[in-house]
Order: sequence, then structure tokens, then C-alpha cells
Amino acid sequence: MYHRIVVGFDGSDSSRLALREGVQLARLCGAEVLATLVEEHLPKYPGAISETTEEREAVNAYFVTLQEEAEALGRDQGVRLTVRIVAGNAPKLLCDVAKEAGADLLAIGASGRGGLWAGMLGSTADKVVDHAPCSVLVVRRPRG
Amino acid sequence: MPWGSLFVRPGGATRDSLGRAMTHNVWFVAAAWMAVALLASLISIRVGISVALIEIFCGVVAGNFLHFETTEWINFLATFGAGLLTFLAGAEIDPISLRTHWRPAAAIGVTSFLLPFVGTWQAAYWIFGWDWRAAQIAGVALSTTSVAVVYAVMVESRLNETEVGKLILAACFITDFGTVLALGVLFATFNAYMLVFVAVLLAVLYVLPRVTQEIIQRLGATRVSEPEVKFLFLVLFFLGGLATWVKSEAVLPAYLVGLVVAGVFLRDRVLVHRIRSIAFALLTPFYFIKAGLFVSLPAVVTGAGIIAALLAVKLAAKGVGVWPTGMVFHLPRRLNAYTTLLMSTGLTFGTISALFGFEHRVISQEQYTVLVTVVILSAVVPTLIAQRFFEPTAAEAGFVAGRHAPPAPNAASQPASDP
Repeated sequence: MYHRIVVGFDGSDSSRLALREGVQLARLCGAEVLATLVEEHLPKYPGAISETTEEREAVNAYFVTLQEEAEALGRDQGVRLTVRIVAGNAPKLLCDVAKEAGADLLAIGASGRGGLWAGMLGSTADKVVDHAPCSVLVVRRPRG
Repeated sequence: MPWGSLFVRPGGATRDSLGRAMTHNVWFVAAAWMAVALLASLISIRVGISVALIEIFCGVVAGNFLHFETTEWINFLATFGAGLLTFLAGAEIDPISLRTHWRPAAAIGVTSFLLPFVGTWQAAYWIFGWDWRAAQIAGVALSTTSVAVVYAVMVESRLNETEVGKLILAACFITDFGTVLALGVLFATFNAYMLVFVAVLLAVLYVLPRVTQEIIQRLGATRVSEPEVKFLFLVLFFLGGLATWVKSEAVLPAYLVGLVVAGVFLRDRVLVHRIRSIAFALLTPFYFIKAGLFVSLPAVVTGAGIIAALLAVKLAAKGVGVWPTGMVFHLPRRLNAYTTLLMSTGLTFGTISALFGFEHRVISQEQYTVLVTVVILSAVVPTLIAQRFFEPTAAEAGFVAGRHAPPAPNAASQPASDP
């Protein structure tokens, strides 16, 4: 059914659910998973290069743990899973990665770490649904 | 009205005494500035905009509504903060990348500095009627390229990982060198003392990399006493003293010192971290808040026309300078437009130049307001246009898909040598 599934993973509970769903789907379909971690919170218009590099170092250290978590999940489920880390605007990059990878499904959490801008400009999920080059699975934690 | 008067009503000895303490007690004044710096950090984390820019905005609010004032010790911390930012800007260059791309980087960097410098200088003088020296400050402040903004934008497009990205970063360093040189030379006094300054500066620059490396190697075991940091601060203070003695600007030697020790910094990332921590926790907040403090909001309104016109002149001059040079070096059309827009950004050196002009009474507060506003707009406007309309695709940037991996902690620190 699906051959290649891209999953947006930022360490939030919601994205963790999306990763689990994506990996389970991949196991059922014999698909491969490309977990995509986006460095979205780098400061804009910095006054010194150090502002960006220091943030990247902190984010990268965190993302290494996320990478290990995703890879362990893939191994446990017997799914071929690779991790890619990119920096920039999450919705745009997730769509770009899905396009570049020739993905036939993009799985994301319903609410990630979008913060203030997400509240004002719409969530990552909204934008990905609008612009993705393939089907999108928006995973929501069951209410109640 | 000083800011302390906000907390006290006239009348009542205790309240007057408290109000006076709030305005004159060095601890209370420091606490007020640090409260603004902390607020800026919190806002920055929340909105994802750099702490430098938010500190400037907070400074604008503190200056216009809370009536913050500077003192001699605040001025020193701010000046040292600006010097350290300049030093770090020089030290963060990748010497190998600069050597590899020397010819195109020098060509793009020089035109990126020269045309906006002359263009905005002449526009300020002939069109807006600024006096000759004030117009020169406009030229210097608006000639800059913000290597920090360029790097941050390129990280998002992953261009920083490509050879083209490294070329653009190297060109930014050349442009900034032009700005720093102009600021250091245009307003200096040329006499015998200047010869002494130049001779000492050259001698120090010649021996500095070797001596710094020696100190790190020999005294590395006693790091808790931070001899290498103290040594670099000693050099910066001494050369800053010499520069101001000849009426030059301390950022010139700071940038040059940064450039010559860049190779050492490339090897010793701990030293970089220590200096960054000192700079960002204690010094640069005073600089950026102070830079915002003198921006007059009424002058932003009355000067809106000049602000728009000078921004247009800066962007046009960068275009006239960088675009054809990029064509000469066969940058693809879209990538060339992207490069031209990125080279049009400005922030830290622009505000440093404007503040230099204001503090030396070369420009008025209205002119300072105009320049700082144009500088801030030049950080935002070209960036938005570049990212919205000209962001290169992976193929255009020469990027090999799937190559990106989380860099090792020390590798991530070096902008021009990221994986």
C-alpha cells in the first residue's frame, strides 16, 4: 500500500505518536520510514554567528537523542528507518523532504512545538496538509 | 525623567531616598539593565527572534518610555561588548575557506562594501543634506553585511554546507573588513601617534597567533584561572586603548585580532565557548540595549521617508555591486539574486558604526535613529525577499541530498566548516 513514509518528529508527544503510527503502518505495508527532524527554533536575525551556532549545538545534542529513539523504535518493529535532520521552516521542509524522497505518505502530529507563531499563523499540520505532495496522516492523541 | 522616578511619587523622604537610590545606586541600575536583558532573552526564546534584535527593541522601549540613562561603567561594558562581538566576528571566519575562495570572495566582498558605502554616503550628503562627516557615518553604517544574519539564513537553506555558501560567508568577512577599516580610518587623527599605533598593531598581529597557541598549550592544565581568556582581553584592551588614543575606533584592532587568531579558535573550541558565554551573558546585552536606547520613536515617524529612501539606496547599491560580480563568477541567476539579497543584510556592525557616530557627536539623535532603523530593516527585508522568492533548490546550491547529519558539537560551532 505504502512504500515510503516520511514522519515529522520533533520530540513532542504528538510527533512521538505520529512516529509510532508511521512505523506500525510501515511494518504492515513493508514500507520504509524516513524520520525527519527539523531544527525550527534557530533565532532569526542574529547579532552574532555564535547565536546560531550555540543554538544549533543545543538542538543537535537534543536531536541526537531523538535520532537514537527513532532508530531504536525502527529496530524493535523490524522496520527500515533512517533519520534526516534539516534546519528551517518545518512545513516547507517536511513537504520538500517528502517530495525529494518520493514519499507516498507523510505522517505528522496534530500539535507539535509550534509555540506562539503556530497560534498566530496556523500549525505545522495545517500547512503540511495544504502543501504536501502526497497523502498526509495527522495523528491526534485520543481525547479523554 | 530618570527611570527611578517611575517608582516614586514626589514628596516623602523615604520615597525620595528610594528614588535616588534607584537612579544612582550602581547595583539597582545594574539590576534594572539586567532585568531588561532577561526580559529580552525570554521574549527571544518565545518568539524565535534573536536576542540581539529583541535587546535593541527593549532598549528602544527603555529609552523612550522608562527613560533609562547610561553611566560611565555602562558605556564601558557596552563598548567592550561591541568590541567582543567584533572580535568574535573576525575569529569565526574559516581561514581555509577564505583562502580557497579568495578571488571571488574578495571581488564580491569589496564591491558589496564599496558601492553601498559610496552610494549611501553621497545620497545622505547630496539628497538628504547631511553634513560631510555625518554622511560618511551613513556610508559606513549602511555598507555592512551581517555575516550572522547571512549564516542563519543559509543554515535554513543548507547553503552553508556547500562551497557556494562558504564563498558567500567569506565575501561577508571581506565586506565587514571594509566597514571596520573605514570606521577605523575615516575618523582617525593622522599624526606620529598614528604611526606608533599602526606599528604596534602590526607587531602584535604578527606574534599573536603563535603566542596565543603557546599560552593554550603551556597553561592549558590550569584552565580554571583562564589565562588564555585573560590574555586575549589584555590584548583587546591594550589595542583598544591605542586605537582610541589616536581617535580611531577600538573595533578595528578587535576585528583584526579576531582574524589572526581564527585558526587558533578553530582548534580550541573551549576557548570560543568561554568567550561567547562571557560576551552574551554580561557584555553584549549592555551594548544592544544601549544601541536601542538612543533610538527616538518620534524621529522614526518624522524620518520615515528618509528611512525608506536610504534603505532603497542601500539595497540598490548592493545590487549594482554584487549582482554583476556574481555574474562574472558564473553564479546561476537565481542563486546570484539570493546572494545579492543576503549581502544586503546588516545589523551588528551597522549599529556599531551608527553608535560611534552618535557618541562622537558626528550625527544627531535623529540621524542615529534613521541609521539604526535602516540597519534593522536591512536585516529583515532582504532576508524575507530572499527566502520567499529566491531560496535556491538543493540542486542549485550543489547540495548532495541526504548528506546532512547532526554535526559533532565542536564542528557545529564553526560556520564555514560545517559538515
